[in-house]
Amino acid sequence: MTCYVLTFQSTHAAMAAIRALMAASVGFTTIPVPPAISAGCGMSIRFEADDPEPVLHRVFEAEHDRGMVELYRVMDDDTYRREQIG
Amino acid sequence: MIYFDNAATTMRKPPEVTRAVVHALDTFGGVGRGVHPASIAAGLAVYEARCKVAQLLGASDPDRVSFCANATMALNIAIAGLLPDGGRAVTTAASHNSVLRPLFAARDIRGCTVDVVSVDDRGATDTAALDRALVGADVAVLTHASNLTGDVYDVARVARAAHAAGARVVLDAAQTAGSLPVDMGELGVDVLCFTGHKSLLGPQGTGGLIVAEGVDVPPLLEGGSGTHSFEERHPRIMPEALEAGTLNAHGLAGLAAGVDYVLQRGVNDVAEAEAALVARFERGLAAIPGVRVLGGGGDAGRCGIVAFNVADRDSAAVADRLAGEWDICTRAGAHCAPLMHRALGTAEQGAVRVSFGPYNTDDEVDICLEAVEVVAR
Repeated sequence: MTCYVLTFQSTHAAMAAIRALMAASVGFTTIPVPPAISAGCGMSIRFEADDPEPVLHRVFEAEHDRGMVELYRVMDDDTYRREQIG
Repeated sequence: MIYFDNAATTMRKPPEVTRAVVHALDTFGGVGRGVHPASIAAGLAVYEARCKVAQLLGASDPDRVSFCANATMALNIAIAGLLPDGGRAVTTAASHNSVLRPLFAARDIRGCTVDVVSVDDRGATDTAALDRALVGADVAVLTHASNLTGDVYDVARVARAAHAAGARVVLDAAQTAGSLPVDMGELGVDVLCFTGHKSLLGPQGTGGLIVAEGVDVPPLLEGGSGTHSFEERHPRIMPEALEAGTLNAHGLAGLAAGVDYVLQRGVNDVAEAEAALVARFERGLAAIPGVRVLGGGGDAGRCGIVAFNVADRDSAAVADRLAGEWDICTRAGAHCAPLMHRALGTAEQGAVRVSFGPYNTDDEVDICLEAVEVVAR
């Protein structure tokens, strides 16, 4: 399993994602945005998955503006790599 | 008590509204001000409120719903944002002071021109004059239903004319949101302003505006947003662009419950029930000598309001008797609608306004009619 972090440009986008993941029973935790990442909203979502696409799919069902969301992969050395969102 | 002042505020709310507010007071942190459970609980409640308001009023997306304190604040935001300095605005004499005063302030302070299109002694709009006034205007600020007479106006037609003339359209839906089917997409308006404490059955201190896709309303207020904290200016990302400062999440939790009641019952059912009460009351009033029902000039129906006078008696004296002798709450006076009262010829007398809500009954109407009959003797 790989660890990912979702960040948001607005509180509304974060809430839309949280609500969608709760409804889909996706496991996640809310955390402050890691200092190494810059994001508009100070809240981020951390989750583990082999493939982040199903989680992103749930998020974008609720938040239609993909520009509101960024995805980071947590690397083995605890750095963050921004992932392309398709 | 018989409560017939629902156009001012609905007093009786669904019990779920009270429970939601109490629960919120006990459990909510600040919206968007932390990642702890109390803050997220508040944020999710506000999100639910956006979703329900968007569903009921036809917003294209919940992120186009910005909350504020009431319809007056929403209208101030919309007018300040869409009427440029030196620009020209159009409204009608049916408008509430929540429209008129921000426009007149823009005239006096920012050099704007305000065309107020007249209505006749039944409250009917001079549609030809309105169409002429729209040419060259920046924004038309329209009332969906008169808060005095309950007459509903054909906003969709005016919106088409306004857009053809290049003007934006702001709608005051304070009296119709929750009491009549309202779909801002079908109406074709650019901004819909609503209040939460009337027919949406929420607490006072809740309201907002829905901004159509592609329409940019700059913030009237700037300040805390909980996001983009190192930017000098308030972020322009909807819906928070128009929500500087901590939201009234406690109230919005109640608003969500109120809107949910309307959605579950069906706004058409609410509208039909209130229309039946209006018809029953008007039939009864017509049989009482000396009673004059005001209005009738709408071109798109009625909402649950009936305004009347008894001969030439002061409206406040009539309302006081209804309250003092029968415990019936109505609203007398000017109703913040000065130009409408002038058009109707009631600027001095005012009017007694009876306004129905989703919990009123035929029996209450009949008791009120008996009371008016006694007062009119």
